[in-house]
Amino acid sequence: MKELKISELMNDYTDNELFLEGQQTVDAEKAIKAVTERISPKKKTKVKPLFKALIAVAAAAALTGAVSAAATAVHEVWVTYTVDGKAVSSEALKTYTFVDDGKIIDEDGNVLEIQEVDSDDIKILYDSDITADDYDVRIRYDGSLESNSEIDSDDIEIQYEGSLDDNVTYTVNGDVVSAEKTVTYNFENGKLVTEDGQELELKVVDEDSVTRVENEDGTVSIYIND
Amino acid sequence: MTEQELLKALQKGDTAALEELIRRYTAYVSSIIRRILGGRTEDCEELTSEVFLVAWNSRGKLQEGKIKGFLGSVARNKAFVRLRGLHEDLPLEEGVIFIEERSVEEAAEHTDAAILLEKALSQLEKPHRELFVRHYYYGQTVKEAAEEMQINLSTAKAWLCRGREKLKDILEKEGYTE
Repeated sequence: MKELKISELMNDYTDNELFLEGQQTVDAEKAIKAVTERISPKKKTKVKPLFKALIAVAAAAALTGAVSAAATAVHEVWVTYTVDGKAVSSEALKTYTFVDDGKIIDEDGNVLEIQEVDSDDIKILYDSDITADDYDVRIRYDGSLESNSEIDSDDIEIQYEGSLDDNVTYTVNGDVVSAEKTVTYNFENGKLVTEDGQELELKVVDEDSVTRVENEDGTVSIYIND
Repeated sequence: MTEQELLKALQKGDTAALEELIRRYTAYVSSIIRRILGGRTEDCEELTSEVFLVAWNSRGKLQEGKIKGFLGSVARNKAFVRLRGLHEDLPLEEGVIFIEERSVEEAAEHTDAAILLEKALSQLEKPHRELFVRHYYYGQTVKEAAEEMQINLSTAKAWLCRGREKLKDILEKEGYTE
């Protein structure tokens, strides 16, 4: 016997009957403005060499590096970056949503399969069927940020909640290839501050709030448990 | 502009075509999202925009005759994911059905789930179909749907049961394969 979830089957349904014209809905012109703003070209911003390492730390996996800052215990930075260091144009950005049962759902509503194995290596989410796409992921950072401190692979988890531009593109390992826009973060007095001087809200994250899953090709996915 | 012309223009990266797409389908997309999320206006606006952003980024994959279905599917999934993020579960009435598995040889050809769904639901009486769609497509609770349709709860549950049986029947008979 085969078990089918009705809600998933209904993904293939188009409702032409229950939907009623004339109901109050979102203003189309507002939607146009919101969408076209997000697909418009970004201005290029130079990345200061000093902070390339920070971005690399924020974006890549299993690195060690020197970080200069005063410290607070836990920071969270949410970044969007490319797979394998290949930057893509912002128009090709793809968003993946992590849901709390360990699954990833892509923009089309397809569920991506996960292999479950524990691993301490923190690497970029990667699925062999997906190429050169951007992922919205959260990387959690746990440790103190002091001058010249080293961050090893176990510490590289940075989660971020703040008003980060959704269309920011980063490259892996700090190599800026053709990013449309990059954002630099500075650590000042224990706070994370953008290049515009905006302080980012910091939040403590429990170990239990993230789940790590190893994929078939050896990379590991990090999930936020909602 | 016909749908074919719209699709061609979109695939060429014409943002005017994107604007036309948004004008045509905002009501539909936002209606789906609003039904699932309730009265959360900001969420509705945000997710509606995201649906069209997805469509734009996936414009190479859009097919004629399936644009509305694509938008609806993305809208629905985004709304459900947002609900999960708000820690609100969807209490679906017996949300699974079990069908007999058929071998590749037995199934004459791969059957399109969308066609089978339409067939199954079209065989339900209109109020039964409406209830089924309200609950399983839009995620309305049985109680809410029953109240809006002005039927009692036990009748609603019986109708849903009938809908599930009809769906199971059609899927098995037509040799549904994933």
